[in-house]
Order: sequence, then structure tokens, then C-alpha cells
Amino acid sequence: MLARAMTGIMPRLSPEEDVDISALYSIAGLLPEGRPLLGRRPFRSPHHGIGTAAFLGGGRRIMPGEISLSSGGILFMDEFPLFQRNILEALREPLEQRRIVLQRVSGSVVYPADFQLVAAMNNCPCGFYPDRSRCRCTGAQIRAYMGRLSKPIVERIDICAEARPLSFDMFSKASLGSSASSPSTEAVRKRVERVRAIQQERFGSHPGIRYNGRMGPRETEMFCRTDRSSEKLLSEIFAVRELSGRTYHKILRVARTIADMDSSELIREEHVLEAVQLRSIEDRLGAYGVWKDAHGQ
Amino acid sequence: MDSERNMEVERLYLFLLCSLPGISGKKVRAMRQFAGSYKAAYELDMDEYLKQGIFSGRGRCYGYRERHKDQERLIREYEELKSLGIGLVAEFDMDYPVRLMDLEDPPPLLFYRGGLPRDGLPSASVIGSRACSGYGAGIAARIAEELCDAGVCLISGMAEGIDSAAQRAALRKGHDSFAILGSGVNHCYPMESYDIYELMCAGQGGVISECPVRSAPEPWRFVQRNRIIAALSDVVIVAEARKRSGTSITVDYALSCGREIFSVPHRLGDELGEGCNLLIRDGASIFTCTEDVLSSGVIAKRLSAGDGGIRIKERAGKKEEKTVTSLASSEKIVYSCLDFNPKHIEDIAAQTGLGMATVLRALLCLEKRRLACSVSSFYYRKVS
Repeated sequence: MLARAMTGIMPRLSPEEDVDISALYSIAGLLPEGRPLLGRRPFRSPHHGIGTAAFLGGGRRIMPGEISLSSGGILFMDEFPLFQRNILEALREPLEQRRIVLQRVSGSVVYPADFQLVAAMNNCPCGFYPDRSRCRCTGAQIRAYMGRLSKPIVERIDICAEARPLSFDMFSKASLGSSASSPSTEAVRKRVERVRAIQQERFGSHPGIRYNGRMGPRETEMFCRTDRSSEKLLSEIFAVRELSGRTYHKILRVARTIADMDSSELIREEHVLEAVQLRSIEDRLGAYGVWKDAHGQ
Repeated sequence: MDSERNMEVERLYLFLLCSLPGISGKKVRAMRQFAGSYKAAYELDMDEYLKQGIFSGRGRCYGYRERHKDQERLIREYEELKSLGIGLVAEFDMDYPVRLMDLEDPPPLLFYRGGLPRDGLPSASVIGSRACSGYGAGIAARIAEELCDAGVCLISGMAEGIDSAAQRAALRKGHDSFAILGSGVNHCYPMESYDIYELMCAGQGGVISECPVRSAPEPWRFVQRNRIIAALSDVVIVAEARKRSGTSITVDYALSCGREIFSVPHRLGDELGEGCNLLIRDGASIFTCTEDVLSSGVIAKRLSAGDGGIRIKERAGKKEEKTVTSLASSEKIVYSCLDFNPKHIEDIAAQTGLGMATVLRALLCLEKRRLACSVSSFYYRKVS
């Protein structure tokens, strides 16, 4: 539900983007009848049993796969670790290059793969971990489940949030649609567009980069300026959490976006603190890529 | 001189008998009692045992009947043991752990890598569930550290959860620890404990097993290994156990050996610690602090016979108190709001009435001082 709502908060589709997306849908024969343009951002949620050709693209006439069909929109992968291992690993290049090259005997085709990846997963096969009074999975089972995600994949995911179990109270309130506590999709989209405008201004002279998530290490150093106290804070966090260099840049990029939402030129302490909470889960990967348990042991 | 050679021969035949499939240590003991020596027991005809009722039927003694088939290979293996760094200790050896004699059926032969626990030193085991909470693992680690600092030797099973948390803590502080395995000593199970297995094999304590070197871990072997853990420790401390847990097997063996049981009290309704509370109801001593164990009968006696290591512990206790009092006020508020069960940062913010940034800042400081730790992205808990 949450993932589906995400297409709503993405910036409005520009006519150029609409044409690009519709061209792909036209190739795949997926355009609705009588309409030349799709007119909305795509949302694709393939089942976790999907095969390689359907996911990446392929077939006799080399058709676009799910990663291309979600280009410009959202690719939602529910039950993330349950996808075939080779499909998970195949995400590496498209996530970096934003396109996929399909080479077959009959020729080679380049399709765009500029999607926003949203993935959902449980903590363990039964879903209750780390609540050990309910989760009876063995350590080996949990490690096998989490271990399906390799470090390179986990590192490419910028934001990770843990959903909390919903109590009945919260659930009934949400269904009554109390708009007081949660802003509407429309309001959030406006905020996103405002932040995008700030970022467009920032990267005006940098072709190829349109928003914060696309910054490389050099741009990150250049644009993610922190004030003195948050710099000290960052070094403290790194000492405590033993994070890697790649994670450092990731936290800076996310902090930059949070600062943009605050319309702040500099990254301040509270932005860093929030970004650290949203870091991905790779620091739970121990030596040899073995998952550490939540005991911090 | 002659008796020494005699013992060497006996050890070889004991090794052969213990390596036969389907013949338990108990049976080996009975065979020896009947035949007079292990050599004689090995060479005796099967029918004699059947007549005596030591073997209950022909089908039951397949391993014994076929013993000559593998004999050459086993003798070769026996000779290779030393070069593999594996030691053997038989029940008639001088360095056989005396504590094991309290068992109804002490293992006639033990394999070990590293060393064996010294008889004079006090020993304790910290045991509990494999699927434990972070709180349980933390408690186990702290108990293990404090006991070892005081000069007690830690015995455990290297199993996942409580066992390995305790042993890892002791070994990381540079203390000796001994692991009793339910597989051969060359077989590290579970694999995740390889780091501590390696340390113990290298001589920081030792790894002990009564199973032949190549045996794979099998469920029934763990029940047998629990009896050795129970017998080797002067006291058994149960850190966290469910109502129905493998821990109760170790506790039963420990009681039959006359060992004192300590149990860490848990909250009512806490499913993971229910077994501990039941043990207390049934008469186990309550563990409130490490002093309780150090001042208990056997441990106190053995400690006073050796050097007084208790002083070290007292100092450590004082230091910790100081760190909590020196916290800033917002950190104190957040710390008092934390629980041993993980709490969501939004709950912490709501309960303390502090802003999210202040809460996160305070949590970071607490984490730095090792008073709190993050369980997963938004959840924090108190460190025990």
C-alpha cells in the first residue's frame, strides 16, 4: 500500500518523460487501448518467482523487462530476499548505470532502467525477529534468509526503515482517515517538487546529475557541506558504529536531502542524526558477509 | 616403567573400544569390569558378553562383532592424533578431571584440543537458550566476564545464544574457557562459533569431547555432552531459559552430581525467562549479582585456597556507577526511559517529551558509553 502510494509523491510527469515511458510500453504492447500516452508514472510489482528474462528483458524479440517497464516510476519488490539470487545480483549494474544492455545472438538492445527501487522484507522467515518470545527461527535460518542479500546490493540501497507492528488503535485511526496527523499525498508531492527544484538549481552545471541520489563521491564532498558541530558528530558516529567509507557518503547524501527539505544551506546536526537512523542495514553484515544477530555480539 | 607401557596399551584398546559404533561409554565400562582390562575386554568373544547380559542381543553388538575390520585404520588414526594436536585422557590417567567422577557414568575417554580445566580452580558454567533475547545474551556475557575476572574458570558448550555469548565475552577479555562439544573435537559446531573455537584450540582454555574425532554433531550426543558440562562445573548458572528447554537436562545432571544451581530471575510473563523462574520455584539459588556465586560454598572454598581475585571485580563495579551519574540530564531522562526490551525511537520521544533530535543525540552518547545499543534501525535497548 505504502509503495503504491509512492508514485503519487513523485514529481509530476513531464511531457518528455511521458513520451519516453510510453514508447517502452508501446514496444511491450502494454499501452491501454486507444491511448497513445500512458500519462502516469509506472508502478511495477513483479512476483518474487519471476524469471530472469521477464525481469531484465529478453526473449526472441528482445522485449523490455520489469526493470525497464518501471523506468521513470517505481519498481516494488515485495519479499525481497525471496527473489532468485541471480535476479537480486542482476540489479547491481542497472542500479549504477540506470540502463540495461541486453546482448543476444540476434543483436543487442539498450533499454532504460531508471527506476526507483522499493523493496520490502521480513527480518526472518517467520517475521517476528528480533522479538524472541515469538520468533523461534534458529540463528542459521535467520542468517540464511538475510544472507540472500549480498553486501554490494545492500550498500546500493540508500534508505532503510523498519516498520513497527501496528496496534489496533493506530490501525483504526488510520482507516478513519484522520488527515490531521498524516499529510495528504498531494501535500507531500508539493514538498518533493520543491526539494527537486532546489536540487535542480544545485546541479545546473553538472550534466547527468539531477538530484542528490545521483551524486558520486566527488560531488558528495563538494555539495554536502556540514557545519562544525555536525562534522564532529559524524566522526563520533563513525567511531561508535564502525561504518565504511561508502556508508559515510550515503549518510551525507541522505542528510543533504533532509537539509534541503528544511531549506537549509548547511547540513546541521539534526539532519545528520536523522540520516544515520535511515542508513541501510549493511553494518549488520559481519566478517565474510555473515549476518550478525541483533544482540550486537 | 612396565606399568607405564601397560597404561599406553590400555589407552590404545580403550580408544579402539570407544571408536566402535553403537557402544556407549557405559557399556565400555561394564565390559572392562567383566574382563579385567580394556585389552582383555577388546579381545573377549562376543558370546561371553551376551551370556553376561552386557549386550542385550546379537543385533545390538554389530560394531563389536565387526571390530577387526577397521582395526588397522583406527590404530593408524590413534598414532596420528598427536600430530593433529589432539590429546587423549583416559579415566585412569593422572590428569583426568576429578569432577567427572561425580557422574553416574563418567566418560572413560576424553579427546581434547588446547588444555583441560585444572582440578583445583573453581569452575562455573553459564547456560541457557539458543534463541535468546539480547538481554539474556548481555547478562550471560556480563556474568561470564565478572566470574572470570574473579578467577573462576568458565565451562560451556559453545552453542548459539547464551553459551557462546558467555564464552565469547570471557575469551575476549583474555581469560581461559573450556567448551564441551557434542561432536568430535575437530568438528566446530555451530560454525558461527568458529572464532572462539579457534582461540580455545590454540590453548586459551580448551575444547573437550568424548566423541571420536570424526563424529558429526547428532542430537543425542548433545544430551551426553550436557552431562559433562554439568559435572565439570562447580556451579551452574542459568541465564535465560524457556519453560521447556535443553537447559533443564544440564540442570538435572548438575543436581545429580550435587552441584549448586543459580538461576537469573526474569519478569513474569516473559516467555523467554519462564524456565529460570520455575527453577527458582523448585529451589535453585537466585542470582542477583556475581558476588552470590563467588561467596557460595565450593567456589568460595576454592577461591580462598588460591589467590584473591575478587578485588578486581569490586573495582569494576564502582566504575560503572560513576558513568551513569556523570550523564547529562537529557541523557539521564532517555536512559531511564530505555528498557531491556527494544523500544522504538518515536516511543522514547513521546514518553520523555523530548524532541527527536535531542533523543537521537542522547542515544548516540549512551551508545558511545555502551549504556544503550541499537537493535535495528529504529529500535534501541538498554545494555545490561
